[in-house]
Amino acid sequence: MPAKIPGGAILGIDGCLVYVEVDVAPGLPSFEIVGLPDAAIREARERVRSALRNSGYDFPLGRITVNLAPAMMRKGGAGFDLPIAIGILSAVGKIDKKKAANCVFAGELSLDGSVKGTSGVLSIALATKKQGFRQMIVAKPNMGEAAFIDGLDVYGVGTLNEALQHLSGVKFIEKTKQTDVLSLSVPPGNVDFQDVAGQEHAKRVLEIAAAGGHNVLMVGPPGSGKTMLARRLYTILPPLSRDEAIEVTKVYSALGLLPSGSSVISERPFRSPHHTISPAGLIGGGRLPKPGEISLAHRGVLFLDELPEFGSHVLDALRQPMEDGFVTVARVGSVAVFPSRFMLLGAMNPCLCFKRADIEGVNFCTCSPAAIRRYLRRLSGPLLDRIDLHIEVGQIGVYDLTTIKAGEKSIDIRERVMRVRDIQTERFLGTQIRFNAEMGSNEIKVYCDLTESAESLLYSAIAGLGLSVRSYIRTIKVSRTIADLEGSRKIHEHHITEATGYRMPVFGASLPNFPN
Amino acid sequence: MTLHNREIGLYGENIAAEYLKISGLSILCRNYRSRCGEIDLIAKDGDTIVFVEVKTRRSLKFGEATEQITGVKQRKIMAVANEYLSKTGCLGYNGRFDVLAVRVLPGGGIKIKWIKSAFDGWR
Repeated sequence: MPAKIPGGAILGIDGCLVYVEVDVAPGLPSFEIVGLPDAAIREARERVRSALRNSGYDFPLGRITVNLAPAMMRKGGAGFDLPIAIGILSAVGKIDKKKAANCVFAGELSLDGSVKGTSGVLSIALATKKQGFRQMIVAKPNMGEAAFIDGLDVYGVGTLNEALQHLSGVKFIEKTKQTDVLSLSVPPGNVDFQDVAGQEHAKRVLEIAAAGGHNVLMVGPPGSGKTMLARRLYTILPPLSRDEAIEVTKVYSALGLLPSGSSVISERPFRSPHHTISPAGLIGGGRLPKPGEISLAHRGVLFLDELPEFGSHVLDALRQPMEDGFVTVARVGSVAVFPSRFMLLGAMNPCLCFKRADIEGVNFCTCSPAAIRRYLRRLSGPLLDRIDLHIEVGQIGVYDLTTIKAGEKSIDIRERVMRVRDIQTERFLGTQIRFNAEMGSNEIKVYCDLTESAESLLYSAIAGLGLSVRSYIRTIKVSRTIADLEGSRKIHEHHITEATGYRMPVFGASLPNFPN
Repeated sequence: MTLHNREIGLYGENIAAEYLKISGLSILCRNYRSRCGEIDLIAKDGDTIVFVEVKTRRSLKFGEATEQITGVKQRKIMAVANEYLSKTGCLGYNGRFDVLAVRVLPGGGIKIKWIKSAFDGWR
């Protein structure tokens, strides 16, 4: 009688239960794995044989056939070592078949029989629960990750023998306790908005962005503090909720990027890929699709420094995932959907010579208007249209640096941000939306109540600036957030004024034809 | 005393057969030949049919005897084993491939190394 042991595979970032069927038939010794395994699974034969032998078991003679069902799905990863080993032992009657069949196994085996962590355990745990299983045996490094899912009994094992002793009842392993990782998620202490001298304007914009989940583009000469500001943005973002943490951890776990020692990503991710990144690296790709930087930045910040240096096809590939909040990566082999609800934070210089915005008027820009226009044209209109907040980050003098008093602490700004997030949670209760920035045109009609004077101001601003319909919607969304920060139910004239100020191209009057 | 290689081989095989008998195996066949090749000894160890390749050496000058069993030789033995099992109707039995290395020491003594499950049919 063949043994049937549940294991798990990763499709994109989602888990899927895979049954490992093992049959040991008499005959000349052979060991075959069927069911579209990848190279890592095929190599499991060598690991499993050595691990069994070194754990004190005879490797059975005869023809061993391992089938990974469903057979038509491509499977990858080393997480099948443990279920295959358990399957072989239960096929030859070394362990109780029924007990082993009630438990989902995931783990990589070492030649000496120790069990090592594998990627994607959180997703497999989710699939385990969905399929109605209650128990999971995983490697010790993965147990916290799996235990994060409610309603699962997770047992962490260090060696194959520990798993076997647990299954046979010789020595039970204690159930993994759920650690409440989120409660200790205070913003990290090493960076703080307090460190940034001046730039109150930029800080205000980042506060609005953080509160409403808006995208930001910062323009300023080198050394004006763009990168410094960007690196501090996540210190004012509210902590991840439990559901968000699961979403984010799924991505990192599937890629095997969970930092060692931590079972769940509890801080908002901050990703800053270099501008030489390929579209597949940003969006996700591969024969068996893997998530890219936008999914790694899910529920966090995607910081693109030197925005015009990114390839235009790379930037334009961002447009759809930014609107949808997810991205579908289709390849010949398979199709995967990855989450991509991130905050885009772009930074760029105003021109190629980098001297343009000097406040003292010295070192004035030497670029011709045509050269500047060419430089700025690298950003497509539709992309800029999707960025709600454009700000100019000016140069500050060395004199200011020494005299300006320290700014507000991140924790204080974060408190205001969280208050606005609470307003939004209440507002969008029962809908899929979480932030103002995610509102569609229908929601705007419901939730954005403009005073009469604000409305007429907005219409004249649209006509005067030649804004698109999308810009119009985004302006309202930004003014909604500004009003929320003030605690105002209605959107007033001055909210609209501030919001349209952030929508204007910051590149100045010398560029009247800036694509917008 | 100079012996021809074949005689040494035969000498080693005799010793191997005796050794296996003493170890509790029953010899089913010696020098089983087929179109694809030859197996030195076929024995029965409980419910398992054991295919034994015997290698005899007088010195380690040309390497350890077990090194001589290359992938090609392994595949040959497996093909013959398959044929043997189907011809004798033993397909329901487990098979095993062992190597017995017999070393004839200069003083006339003998050293035997028995490697069970030396190789298998994995690709």
